[in-house]
Amino acid sequence: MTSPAFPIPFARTATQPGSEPDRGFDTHLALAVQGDERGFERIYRAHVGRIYALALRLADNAGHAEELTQDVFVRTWERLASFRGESSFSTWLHRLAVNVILSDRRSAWRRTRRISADGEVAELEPDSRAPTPGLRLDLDQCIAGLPPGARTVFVLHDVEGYEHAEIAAIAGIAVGTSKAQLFRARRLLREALDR
Amino acid sequence: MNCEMIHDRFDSKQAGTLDPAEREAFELHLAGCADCWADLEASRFLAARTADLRREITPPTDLWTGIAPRLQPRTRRLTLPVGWLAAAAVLLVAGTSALTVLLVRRPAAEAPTGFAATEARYQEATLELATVYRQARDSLAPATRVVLERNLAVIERALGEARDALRADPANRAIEEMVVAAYQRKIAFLERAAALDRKT
Repeated sequence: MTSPAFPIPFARTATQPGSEPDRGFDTHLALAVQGDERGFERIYRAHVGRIYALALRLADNAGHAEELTQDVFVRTWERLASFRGESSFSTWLHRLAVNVILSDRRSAWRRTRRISADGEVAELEPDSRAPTPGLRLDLDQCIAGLPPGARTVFVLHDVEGYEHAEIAAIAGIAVGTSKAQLFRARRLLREALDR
Repeated sequence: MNCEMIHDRFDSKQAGTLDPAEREAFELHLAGCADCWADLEASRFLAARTADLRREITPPTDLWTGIAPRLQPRTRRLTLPVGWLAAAAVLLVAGTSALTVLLVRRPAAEAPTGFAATEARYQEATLELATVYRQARDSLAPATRVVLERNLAVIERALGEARDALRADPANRAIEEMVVAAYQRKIAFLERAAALDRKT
């Protein structure tokens, strides 16, 4: 793969060993930043698995996870010119994905609350997807059965490695709330996995 | 330590980063608190399972087909090294200043009116910049020179066509604007082309 005809100052510093999928990634990223959709498609193909995994664990169902994944990449395209290489592209994209997904959840919550205020919906809680009693489930199935708040904090903290302070900032909650949700999630998961 | 303080230290405990005094207080509390003991066990148990989770999952369908139509065309951004930009900025300032001087050189009372006068000033400005470019181009790589000359020819052809159109329809203000725009493109091109020499 040849280098792009135009120099990309951030490209080398943006790539950390093992963090990007292939040696040509810088070229695709450079092309995408310049507005090239083919370059952006390569970026999408390199990262869609990780973003979809995140969306699948945070969303209410697989269909919604697919929609959120698409939203994340459309937003990435819109914001790509603002990527300055201060962190790796993977890190930047992941943070953007978390923001898009949680923002969607907040919007859904506001819509639900508005409807509730009109008296049309009595419960705010989403559908319960608790594991079937007697059936030994894998961890992903149990995570899907967690309440949304506990699920978000567990996925971001224990799966994705975010700190409580970061989660609090992204999700708009107190650090103490993040910690409490994490322990709630861990207890629920342990109980579910022990069945 | 109370239960909340114990919870705050679970990750440090598992990472082995508690200092000796904290570790002693932690274990003392744990020995007498069944809930915290169970929570710690849950954390250990889950940590091993969480590490095995797949970090990448392929979507069941190709999501790109739903993404591509939503991508709005973005203006291609030319990214140049700082040195080039600095040289271009200097030339741009110089060129703009020269143009300004040319445009205000004559007192208003003596300045000719009409489009012919405007065009004369643009012609003078482009001539000056063309002189700078001609002096610079000899030091450019042959391949670069070929590309620049080809692009300059395109710009000049467009300018010539606009001027021909204006000659055929001298009262047309829209064509006048096209001629001015063509001159401005030529000026901008010459400024950038001359700036290349500063770098090579």
